[in-house]
Formats: sequence, C-alpha cells, structure tokens
Amino acid sequence: MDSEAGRAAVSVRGFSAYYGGKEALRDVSLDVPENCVYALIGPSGCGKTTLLRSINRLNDFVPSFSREGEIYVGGTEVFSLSDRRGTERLRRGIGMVFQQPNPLPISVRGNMALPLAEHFRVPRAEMDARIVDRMKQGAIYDELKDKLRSSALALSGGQQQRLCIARALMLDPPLMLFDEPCSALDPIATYAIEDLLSSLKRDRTIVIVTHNMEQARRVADYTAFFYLGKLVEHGPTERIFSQPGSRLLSDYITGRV
Amino acid sequence: MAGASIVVIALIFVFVFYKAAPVIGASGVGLALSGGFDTQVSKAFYAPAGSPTPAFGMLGLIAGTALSCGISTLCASVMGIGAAVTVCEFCGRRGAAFFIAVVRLLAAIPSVVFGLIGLIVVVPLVERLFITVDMQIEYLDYFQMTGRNLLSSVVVLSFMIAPTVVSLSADAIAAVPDSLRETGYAFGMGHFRVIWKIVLPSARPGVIAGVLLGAGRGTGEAIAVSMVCGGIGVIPSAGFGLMNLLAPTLPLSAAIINKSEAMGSGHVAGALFSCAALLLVLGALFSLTARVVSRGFGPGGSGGGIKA
Amino acid sequence: MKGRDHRLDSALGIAYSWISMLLMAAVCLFILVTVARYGAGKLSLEFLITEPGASAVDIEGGGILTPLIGTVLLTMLGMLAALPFSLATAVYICFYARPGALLTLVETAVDILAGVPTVVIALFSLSIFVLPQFGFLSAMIETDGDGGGMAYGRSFLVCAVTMAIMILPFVTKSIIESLRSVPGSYIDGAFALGAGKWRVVAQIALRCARPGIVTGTVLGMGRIVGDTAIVWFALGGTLRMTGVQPWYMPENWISTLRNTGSTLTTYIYYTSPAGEGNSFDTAFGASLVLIGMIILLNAAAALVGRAWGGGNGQDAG
Repeated sequence: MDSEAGRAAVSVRGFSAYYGGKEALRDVSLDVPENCVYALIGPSGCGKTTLLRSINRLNDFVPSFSREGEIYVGGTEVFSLSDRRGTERLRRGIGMVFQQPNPLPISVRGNMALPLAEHFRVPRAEMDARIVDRMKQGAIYDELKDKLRSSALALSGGQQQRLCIARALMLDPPLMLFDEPCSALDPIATYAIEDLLSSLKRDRTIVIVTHNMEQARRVADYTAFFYLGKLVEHGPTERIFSQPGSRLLSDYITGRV
Repeated sequence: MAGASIVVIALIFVFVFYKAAPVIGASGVGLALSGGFDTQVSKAFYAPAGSPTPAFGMLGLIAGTALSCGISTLCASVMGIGAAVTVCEFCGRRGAAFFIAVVRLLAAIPSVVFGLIGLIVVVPLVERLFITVDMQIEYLDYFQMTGRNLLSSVVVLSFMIAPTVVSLSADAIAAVPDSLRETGYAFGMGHFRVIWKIVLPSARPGVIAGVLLGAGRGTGEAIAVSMVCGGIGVIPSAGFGLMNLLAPTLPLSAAIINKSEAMGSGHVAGALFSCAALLLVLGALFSLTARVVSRGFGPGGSGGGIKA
Repeated sequence: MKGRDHRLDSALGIAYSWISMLLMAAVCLFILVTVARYGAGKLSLEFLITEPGASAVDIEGGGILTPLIGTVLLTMLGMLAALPFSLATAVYICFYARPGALLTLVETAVDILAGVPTVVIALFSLSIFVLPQFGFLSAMIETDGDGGGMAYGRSFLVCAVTMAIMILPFVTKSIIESLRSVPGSYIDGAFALGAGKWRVVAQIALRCARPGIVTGTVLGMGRIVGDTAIVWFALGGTLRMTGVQPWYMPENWISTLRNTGSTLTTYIYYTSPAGEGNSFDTAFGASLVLIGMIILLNAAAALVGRAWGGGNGQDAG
C-alpha cells in the first residue's frame, strides 16, 4: 500500500471487473479524498455502478462476477477479507443508498432501528434519541415526526429516499455510497437530496454514481468519467467540466455521446 | 357459463342451510354451547319415525375442530415456513427443484392414504410412546384412552397442511425484490439475518395467506382425520391438562364421515348438515380472509406471488 | 452500546430451516416406502383385473378392477364437466369482465367455492340430487311417487357432477393464472393487426396458455383421483358395479353410469382397519396403484408442458 492510498478514503488500484467472460471495468485506478463528494459519471453500461458495488463487495452476490486489482477502504484491501464476518464488518462501516428507495414494508421507526438493533443492544431511550438525531441529519424528521409508527411504504418517493439515507446514517458510516439516488425522484425531491449531500460530507466521504451531469456539477468536489469500462478522466469537478482533457468527455458534456 | 360459480355457491348455501334448519331451530344456541353429540345421534337414530326434531350439541365437535386444526396449523406453519426458506434460500436451483417436487408429491398424496398410514403407523406409535395401562385406568371414567386421539390427528393433519404453507410461502419469499435483500447486506447483515429481519417480514402477506389456506384445509379435512381421531367428541377440560391430547376427538368434518351410516334418520342427517353449515361458514371465512390479507398490501411491497 | 453477535442464532435458524425441509422430505419418503413395502406383495396383474370380492369376508381374494375403472371414469367425467365452465369463467375474468360489482362477485364466488370443504360439497350433492328432476343422473332417484327424499341419488354421473363442482375453482384459478402470464404484447399485437376479440382470445391467448391449462387440468384430475369424501357420499359404498350386469357390455354402459360403484380411495377406506374389510395389505396394494396413477398423471403433464414449450410450469401445490 503506497502513501497516497493511506490518505484517501477509497483507493482503487488497477481494478478490472468481469461478468462471466464480459469485461465491465478495465484497469481502473483512482483515489477518493476524505470528506468530499466524489461523482462517478458516464453513459449507462460504462461500469460506474460495478465499481461502486465492488467497494462494499455487494457484487459478491452476482455469481458470474470476478475481478483483478485492489480496492482499499480506510487502509484495508476489501477483497483480502476472506471470511464472511470480515465482509459484514466492512459493509457495516459503509452506508449505501440505492437507485430505488427501498424502505422495508414496516413502520418508519422499524426501518430506522433495524441497522443499529442488528449489531448492538441499545436501550430504548438511546435508540429513540439516535433515531431523532439521524432523521434530523437526513432532513426528514420534521415531516415524519408524527408518522414514526405508520408504514414506510405510505411515504412519497422523496421521503422514502431520505428515510433510507437517514437509516444508513444510524451506523455512522465514515463512507457512503449513493447509486443514482435521485433517478426515481422528481426535481424537488432531487434538490432536497442534493442539499443533504453537501451537509453530509462534512463528517464523511461520499461516492455517488449519477447519469446526470448537472447533478455531478452541482454536488461533487471531484468527478471521474467512465466510458465502456475505462476511466477516461478524473479530477476536480470544476476542471473536468470547464476544461475537459479529452474529446470523449467534451462530447459527453455537450451531449454527443 | 362464467356465472356457474355464483350459482353453485348460492345453491350450496341454500341447500345446506335448508337441510340444517330444523336441527338449528330445535337446538338454538345450545348447538354450539352444549355437548353430548354422540349419544344424541344414537338416540335420534333409534327414535320412532315422526318424532319431533331433537336438540343437538356440537361443543365437543367444535372444540375438536378448533384444537386439531389449531395445533396442526401451528405445527405446519413452523415446519412449512422453515421448509420454504430452505427451498428459496439455501439449496440452490437443483435442490430447490427437488424439494419442490417433494412438497408437491406430499400435497398430492390422497387423504385416505394419509389416514391409512396414520392408522397403521402413527396410532400404534402414539399408543406405545405415551399411553400406559395406568393412565387408561385413571381416565376410564372420562374417556377411553387409545392411540386414536387428538395427538394422532394433529400429527397426520400437520403433514397434510404443511405443503400448502410451503407453496404459498415460497412464492411470497421468491417475490421479495432483491433490492430489499441488498439493503440488509449493505448494513452488514448475514444471510440468515437478512432472511429473518427483511425477507420474511416482507413476504408476510403471502405467508399468512398460506397459513390461512392451510388452516382451511385442516378444518375441512375429513377422511384422514376420521380414521385416526377416535370418533368421540370429548369436550376438553382444563383439569386433564396435556392429557387432552390423548383423548379421543371428533372434529366437525370427521363427524360427518363417522356418523354418515346413521343418516337414514332424517334428524341425524339434519345434525350432520348443521356440521356442514358450520364448516361452510368457516371455510368461506378462511378463504375470504386469505384473499383480503394477500391483496390488502400496499404498493411497493411484495404482495406478489400469491396465487391462490 | 453492547455489540450483538448473531452467529449462534443464525446457525440455529439455518438448522431449523433445514430440519423442517428434511423432515417433510423424510415423511414423504416414509409414506412412499411404507405404501410400497406393504402394498408390493399384493401387486400383480391378477390384482388389477379381478373384481373385488362381494363382501367383507372374501375381500382378500378379490382385486381392484372396478375401483380402478371407477377412478378413471370419474376423473374423465368430472374433468369433462368442469373444464368448459372453468375455461369460460377464466376467459370472462381475464378478457371480458369490466372492473365492477359483477367481476368482484364472480371472483369472490370462485374464492369461496375453493374454500368449501369437500365433505360439505359431498353433503350438498346428497341434498340436491334427490330431486326427481335429476332422475336422469341416477337410477336411485325416485322419479315418480314420493320417496320422501330419503333415497339418496348416488351414481357415477351424480358423483362426476359433484367432483366438477369441487374442482371448478382450482382449475379456473390455474387457467386464469396462465392466461395472465401470456405476454400482453402478443395480445396487443394481435389486436393491432385488426383481429377480433374472440379470435385473439381463442387463437393467441388460449394457445399461449396451453401448458398452463394442461397443468390446471391435471391439478383438477389429481384432486378427483385423491378424493374420498365425495365418492363416499355421492357414489356410495358398494365395491362392485351395481348397474345391469355384465356392466362392461356397451349396452349396459348407461345403466352402469346411473348406478353406484367404487373408486380406489373408497376401496382403500373400506379395506383399511377403519372400514369393514380390515385387510390392510389389500388397502396398501390399492394405495400403491393410486399413488402410481397420481405420479404418472403429473409426469405426463410435465412432459406435455415441456413439449409445448410453455415453461411456466406452475405450482400445483
């Protein structure tokens, strides 16, 4: 592990990924600095989601998945964790928010309590206090404080997604992964979540996959552009968008790819 | 022709209640609240022609249905949900295909064969394991203790109900979207924890529908139970404690079979039709509840996969 | 906060799941082995082609010819009677009904009918098939004079109609399910080509749903084969055919159908220690034949389903 990887929250080194014989990512290397929002962009099928789901090893559940290279999270190479408990502990420290809001068909409170209750014995008062606090962080408390007992499925899509974010915050993950969190939401709900991202990055690192360039431009400090499984360009968002270093990226930005 | 079901179900209600009406009228609420069905049937059978409709009391039969069906539904649910989890989560594609075939075969075994096996295997086993001569003597005043009893009925019924529970639960579990499982894994939950805390709660409507339909099958099952139940509607008593399990029983459905030979008497026939009327209402309730439970589930959930 | 470790309860949970499944599989295997062990000794060509003894005393000597034929007859007749109604109901629900009270009523009726215990349907047949109007179904119904409604109409025809009532909801639901799994694009495509509604239903939907319809049919036939309660009440407890003899001559077929007989299930009940025969190896011999029939029936359905490339082999449980 080199010194650069030590300072980065996530460090990807020579990473290639395959589904069966099909290559999804080729020789990707990048570093995600701490306490920033890092966006992965590119046209669909470019491998950005594969990379995201490799960071917390969620792709392990795809039987045909295989890979080469390394990914370091907080100094640990994630694929070196050979036993199930190690992987589970890794995932515990990485919050994940999915494309579709996915609250469980139980109460709002039940959803919030689940991750913490799974791993710790928490006195009820402490649990309630933490739920209130994390729902405030997730900018959902004011709307839902009277609905803690009602079904999470009764909420609007935007509320569900913020609930999922607040739920992921229950375990205080230093790293959070967002997989196109706004693609199923309307513009107002999208704006609320983008707002949330900038407040969340104060204490943690965020990696977000998005197909929406404007979103990347608005929320991300750094952006990496992928095309057909290759990392074409990466760097500070401002530079990426104002002075694209490659023809491919400038075509993508102007909507020609 | 599409209206055939409406016509048939209406006819069933009309005819069954029409035949049951004299006995229901003569017995009043005592029909459900008093016992003594066995003696009443033999008395009615030997009553001279033209005598007025006697009162019947089916408390023993109702208790028999409630106990045998209740306990075996419980056993079948515990077993069936576990089996459904195995089929869906633990044994791979080939294993699942094999076990599903097994479950279907178990569901397809005719109830008379279940009864036969119960009679030849379960009844002697229960008698040998649990019943001693001392116990038989002790309870002689209350009932005759043999292997044909509530426990044997429960054992046989459990395995008859379980395939229904497995089928519907497995459908419901398979219909839980992968995104919900991934949520659990992303929180660092292990496979079984994801099943227990996420998959099963999400599949709950389908699982409950399976349990209700299983209970419905248990209430209506007649032949197998009639072969192993002992044929006497003993009213359970708190004083017997666990010995209630070793008392003979006679659920409503089995009573119809057991007493069918006395149907030459119109009064006995009326009594059996009263049993049928009660079963009819119970059966309708079970299937309607199952339908409401499986459909009355919000959007985005996993109400899918419920086909019955 | 104290950490929680789920290693133990997960291990217990996994063990519980496996034990449940293995217990069910073991019981299934045990039933098959027991039936085969006790029944195999009885199995012979002679057992299959001899009529049962006339009474409980000489039951040991006889075979199962008439019960076997009774089962086959009832299965065919019951299915023939149910299938048109099931198809019509399913097509109506899937293609013709508009959402509303009538549709809800039909669906509810099917659901309730599915929940009516077979023993109740059996008693219902006793109560309705004493009416003189049904005299054509059974020789036992008194069509003239007043029988007081005590001569229960029992016959193969009565029993087949009752069986049809019993399986109607299950076959209907199964067909509905297979019709719903026909891709909507096929149906839209056919409409787009200007085909009439009936043609679309008959030529596209029903054809695509064929494997599912076969599955549903087999499901229903399996229920008839396995049922005892309805046979007990609607066909009666006579082991042999009771119509004009010899029952197998074509000129006597009508009489045979209008009279009583038995099936494998009532034969098993009768010969088991619960019945009068008390000859359990004979009962197991008949059980073996019965289970063999059911397995063959399902295997045939699976083959047909595969041959038609449906691939939507639905759960028959």
